[in-house]
Amino acid sequence: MSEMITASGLVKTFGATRALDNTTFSVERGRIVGLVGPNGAGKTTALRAILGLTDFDGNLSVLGLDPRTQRSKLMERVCFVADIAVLPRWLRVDQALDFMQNIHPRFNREKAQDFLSRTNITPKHKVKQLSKGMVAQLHLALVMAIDAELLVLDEPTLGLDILYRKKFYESLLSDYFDDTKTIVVTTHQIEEIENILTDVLFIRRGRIVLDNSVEDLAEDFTEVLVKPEHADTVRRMNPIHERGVFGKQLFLFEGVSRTDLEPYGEIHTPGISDIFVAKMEAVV
Amino acid sequence: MDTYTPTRSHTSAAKTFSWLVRRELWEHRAFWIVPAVVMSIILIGTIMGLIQGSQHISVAGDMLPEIDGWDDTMIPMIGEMIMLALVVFFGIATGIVAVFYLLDSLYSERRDRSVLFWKSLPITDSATVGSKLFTGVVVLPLVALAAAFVTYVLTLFLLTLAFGFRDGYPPLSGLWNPIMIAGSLSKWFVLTLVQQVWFLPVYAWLLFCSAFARKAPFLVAALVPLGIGLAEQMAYRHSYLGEILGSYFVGFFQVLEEHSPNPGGGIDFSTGRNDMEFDTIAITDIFQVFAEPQLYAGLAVAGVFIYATVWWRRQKVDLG
Repeated sequence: MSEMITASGLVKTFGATRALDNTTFSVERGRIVGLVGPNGAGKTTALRAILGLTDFDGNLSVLGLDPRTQRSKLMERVCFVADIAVLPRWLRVDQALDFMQNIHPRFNREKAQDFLSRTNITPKHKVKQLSKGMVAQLHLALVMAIDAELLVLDEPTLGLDILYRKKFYESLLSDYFDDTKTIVVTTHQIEEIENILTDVLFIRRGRIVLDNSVEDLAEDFTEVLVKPEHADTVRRMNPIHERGVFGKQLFLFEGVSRTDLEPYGEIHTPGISDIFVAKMEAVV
Repeated sequence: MDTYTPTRSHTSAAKTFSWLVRRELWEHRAFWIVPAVVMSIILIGTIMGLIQGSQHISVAGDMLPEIDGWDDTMIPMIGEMIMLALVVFFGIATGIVAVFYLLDSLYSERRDRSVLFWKSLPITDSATVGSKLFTGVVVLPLVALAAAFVTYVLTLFLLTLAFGFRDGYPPLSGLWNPIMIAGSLSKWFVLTLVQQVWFLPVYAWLLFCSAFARKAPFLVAALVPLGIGLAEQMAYRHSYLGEILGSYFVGFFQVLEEHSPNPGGGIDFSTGRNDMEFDTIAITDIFQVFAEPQLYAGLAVAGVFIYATVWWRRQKVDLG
């Protein structure tokens, strides 16, 4: 079973807005998938559907289970970090460890303690006494000690300073991730996780507008920096995005070969954030 | 095709439930603080009363007139009176704690978003709701009863110390009769649990409001029945809901009174009169409550509220 998540035709409406609009995608085992979209695009709703936290229409299977009806079973094999602010403030670190150890069949206390020993967090600390960054570390310690198959992260580093953000993703990669595990992560700061992702899913108004592996992105997308005299010619080749840079025009192409573009200017490989902007501003 | 591996540590439904209850006790320290404060107030009050009383006695040089009339048969009665007073004190104090606890428990976890943490764990919504209801409806009253009992024993100790060795007083050693104490305690234990079963629909309603309310669950819990009652008043010049609720609330005490050895006595809540017959009811009489159809109607209502609470807990992770 290499498909971790298969979703087809997901629909979820809030009043007149469609948070999920016939959303279809799949996630394979062993991948790190970035679910990226602007505010209100449906990222969180999609994650909540995966986690069984919301009702929706359509077909969704996570680890072969239906999150709507088999949520507690699913949660033995799935972990999630909603964002850093959700650990209850009254909870003490040793209580958190005791609790997890006794209710979670896949929790490894030693692993959590080992991770915590590398931080300034002590067992008698209460969550409310910890800084934001330390709460994130605690949450990560709890989550990484669970031998889960799927880890879902919804803006896990929101509001953290750059040091904690970097450490967060470093620990995730070095101490947690291996090819049996799958991570789905949403973030605003795509640049920050660009180099750890294996796949990207762009979501816009509840629809998946890009579903690609990061390797393929470099092949599928090409940027060309064109002098003004060639701009009109290049514009006729259907670029998906165009912007002015230092008196030149920068065009982004999808599915156009590099050799076709080379005569008109400098070729670049676009960053994920450039593709993201192009996809989000594109008129559908 | 399923790669699910055997569990690393042993978990079971019962174990999870006990840890869920423990987690509630961690969070809500009022469960311990409130009984401790009530106990301190009662004991300090008793000590101060005894000091003042002994000064008075030493001035008067003699006992108070009523005490002349005391005899051994009144000793168990004194014990029952003290225990009743303590149970009522602790019951009211922890009852208030329980109301706020139930109203808050599923609301505050949505407000501070910690629900997202709890829901990231392999725990069913029914186990979570069940643990909160169990904590508020069973654990807390038993804490209150235990506190009342400890206070009772300490009060007896103080009384014995103050009066037990004086001439002319009835032998207070009668108060220490273990059979009497055990009988009283088991009766209050049964009465507490049966009372909680009777009032389960009220607790379930509070918990439902806690799961359901977008804001101020307390107001929702109070204003919804009040609003229905007012609407009925305007439409029919009579509130059927008010009548039903009224008779249900009084019903429990009426049933107990009917089955007490001295019907017509007991606590009269309309006048506040209490001739102390209420607490002489036997355990077997308490179980007569289960013969009342009203109880089962109440349990059915409680069932609906509990089901709705679980349903909402499953649906809602935020306030809106």
